[in-house]
Amino acid sequence: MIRLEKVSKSYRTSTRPALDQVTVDVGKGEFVFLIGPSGSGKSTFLRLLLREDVPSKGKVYVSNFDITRMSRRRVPRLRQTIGCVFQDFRLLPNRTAYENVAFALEVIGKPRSVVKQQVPQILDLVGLTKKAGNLPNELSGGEQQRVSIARAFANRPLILLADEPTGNLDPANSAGIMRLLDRINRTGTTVVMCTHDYGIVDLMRRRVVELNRGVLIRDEAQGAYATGPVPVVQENQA
Amino acid sequence: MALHIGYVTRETAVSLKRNLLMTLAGILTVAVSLFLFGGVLLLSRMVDHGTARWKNGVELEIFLCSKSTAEPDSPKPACRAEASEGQIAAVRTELEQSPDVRRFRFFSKEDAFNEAKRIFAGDPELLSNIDPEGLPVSFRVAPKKAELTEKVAAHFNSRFNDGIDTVLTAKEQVRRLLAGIRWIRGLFFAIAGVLLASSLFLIVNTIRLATFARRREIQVMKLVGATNWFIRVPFMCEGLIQGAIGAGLAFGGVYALRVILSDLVDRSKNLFSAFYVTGGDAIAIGVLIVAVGATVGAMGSAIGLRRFLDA
Repeated sequence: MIRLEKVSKSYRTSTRPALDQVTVDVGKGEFVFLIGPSGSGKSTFLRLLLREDVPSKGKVYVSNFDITRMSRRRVPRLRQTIGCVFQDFRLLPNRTAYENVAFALEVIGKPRSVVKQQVPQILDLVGLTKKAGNLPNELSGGEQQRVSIARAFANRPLILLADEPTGNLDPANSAGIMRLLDRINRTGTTVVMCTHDYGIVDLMRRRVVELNRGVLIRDEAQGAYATGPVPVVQENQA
Repeated sequence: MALHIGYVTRETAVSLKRNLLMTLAGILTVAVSLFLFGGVLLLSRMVDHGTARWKNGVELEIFLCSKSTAEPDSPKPACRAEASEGQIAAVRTELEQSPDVRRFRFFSKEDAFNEAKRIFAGDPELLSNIDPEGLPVSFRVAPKKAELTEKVAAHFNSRFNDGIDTVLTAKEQVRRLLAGIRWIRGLFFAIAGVLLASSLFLIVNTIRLATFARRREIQVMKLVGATNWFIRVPFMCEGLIQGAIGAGLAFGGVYALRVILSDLVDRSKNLFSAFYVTGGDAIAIGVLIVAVGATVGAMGSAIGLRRFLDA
């Protein structure tokens, strides 16, 4: 589903590469935590998957797309197969919760009737039926994040990328968000989640990929995050 | 990628309302510049009509006797009969041999009628009263130099026995007026061009401000997988509407100007009677103005957006 082959990415502003020879393979339906301190390359990792950037070296494959060789015109197609959730929610501020979710469907050209039918279902899934008519600034952080997850999941993406989705939330809300992501994962959607919240990682016991200064230092199939040094395990060599 | 009409109208309406002041500014600039542009076009149409016969250096027109000018029993010197084929040929030979004539063109009855049809296109009643057979044939003559006009005119004028009725020359005042109008027309065109360009910039700027305020929104749209066109079309509709409304106002102005000008021309009877604009001219100019306005608006939007979409 997602494959990075010896991917390096350097930015002009920095001498140290943001990613250095990273190879990761994520299968369909996997749930992967991407962890590491700030500046370790997590964001760059996600940016490459969305083709907000192209790698300096190496190959990136997402679903059936070859990121390194695709034309600009195909980028929207790629993004339509990926759902995104961010720490700062990134909702459209002038649209209600309902409209935000509907937008994701309008973008892929779904007819009105389908939109009308699907949006309430998705809002129900995230438990926001009663807040459908509210604007983002009328919602709490947890609610906004749930709208953003609803939007990401609206067009049934193959992949869901979450960039510190719990970063701005209290533990109770975080737990709610994690339950949602888990549910989405169970529908067969591949989930990649960046996080600093090691408590969540410990709790969920899923595959953990750790980056440090752009280098892959850990790729563990069974999560079980524990503090302290852990030997690098590279599995799934493609 | 399907674009829904409902989506586009909704987006456009919301955006127009949210930037009301800038929207109005854009509309007004388009209106003013297109009004000037249209006014100049109108003026030049008038000048074209009024000077059609004096084009290409034609300075005088020799009218031969026609059925309607012939007065067989008149005691005063006058045409006795319609000019014969022989008389027409004789005038032609004379013009060909004259050292003062650069070139000339023969105008048959049919040509004259066609011209009348063009000039009085807006006045079918008058047109139906014209008898093509009663129209005079004529020669339109360009002398070697403008100063020779009077000499050539005097040579041909009122030679009734040779079948020549009168000679019409471009009056000095008319000539000077034409030069003046041409100059003013050039000036107006330049001003209108500058204003048109500035309205384009203003629309670009309006849209850019609108997009700058919404650049995060646009980023999000792109993340969700919106194509550039999906984002662009509502903005372009916005510009198009601004341009079209501005152009509509300008057209109203131009139409009013036409009414005023026609009125002036009517009152000054003789001198300017050839300077007229038909309703058809005004409509044609209106269509052109609206097309230009809408294009400027839509293009301005596309340019204004470019920076945000290419990221």
